Amino acid sequence: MIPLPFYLTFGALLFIIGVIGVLTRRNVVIVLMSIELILNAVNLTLISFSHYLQDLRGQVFTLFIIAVAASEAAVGLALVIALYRGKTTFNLDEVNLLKW
Amino acid sequence: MYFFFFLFAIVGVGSAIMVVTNRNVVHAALYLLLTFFCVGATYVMLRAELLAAVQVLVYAGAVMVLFLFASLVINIPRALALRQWNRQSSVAVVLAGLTGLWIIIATSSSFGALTAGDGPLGTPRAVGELLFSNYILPFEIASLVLLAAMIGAIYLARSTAIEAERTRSESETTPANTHDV
Repeated sequence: MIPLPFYLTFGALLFIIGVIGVLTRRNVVIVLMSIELILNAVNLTLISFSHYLQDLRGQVFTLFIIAVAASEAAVGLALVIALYRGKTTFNLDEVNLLKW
Repeated sequence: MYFFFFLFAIVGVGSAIMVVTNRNVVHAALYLLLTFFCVGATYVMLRAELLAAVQVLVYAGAVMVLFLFASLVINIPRALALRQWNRQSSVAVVLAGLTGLWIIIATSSSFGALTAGDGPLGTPRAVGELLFSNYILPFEIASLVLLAAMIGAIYLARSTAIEAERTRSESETTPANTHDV
């Protein structure tokens, strides 16, 4: 049987790769993909704890996270399309409307 | 068992790295699809069958279609010519790497003693019974969140097109009206 820290390490690696993507990339779509990676890592951690503690609540919680992640992707990509129509850019460093 | 876990973990982490480091948005989306499938296979190994199916349907189906659609909208040759990394990237990689190392050390020293229970835990029947009895209110709220996200996404993505259409139709109808008068 695989020990729990293996799954947690897999989740932590995915989480950290997603965080690095959010912090370093300038392309909006890739930043949104990195957010999806972070949410996947959290789901993986919740499901592995749910399996090792024999508690279904982690899986129910994961379903809600998937619902929120789907709506986040839809709204985020709609924002990307609106941004591209308005400013013709997908570079996050050029989106500085609120900067003073 | 170990072989399949390491296969999925290594392929998943490798394609996640490819998502973050790739220049091309479409290639990054396809690597992200591979990562989603690897995470879904890990759900099967954790006996969460319903969530594995939901992972493939929602992430690999719906979210991936959204990402590919959005990458059709943006100008890919211009995106390839762009400088890909911002100025804080080296600091961010070092800090995130240290945080990740800390998380891995902390979890492997704390939770190593837990042993897995056997038996299928996450069957659709069990998850559905829990979801529709104890968690019925969060379930309804999740449906409201999805409805709000759907309306918001349609509004955000279409509002500029509708305004452009309206101004065009107004500028077309105004000369015709003056001509009639």
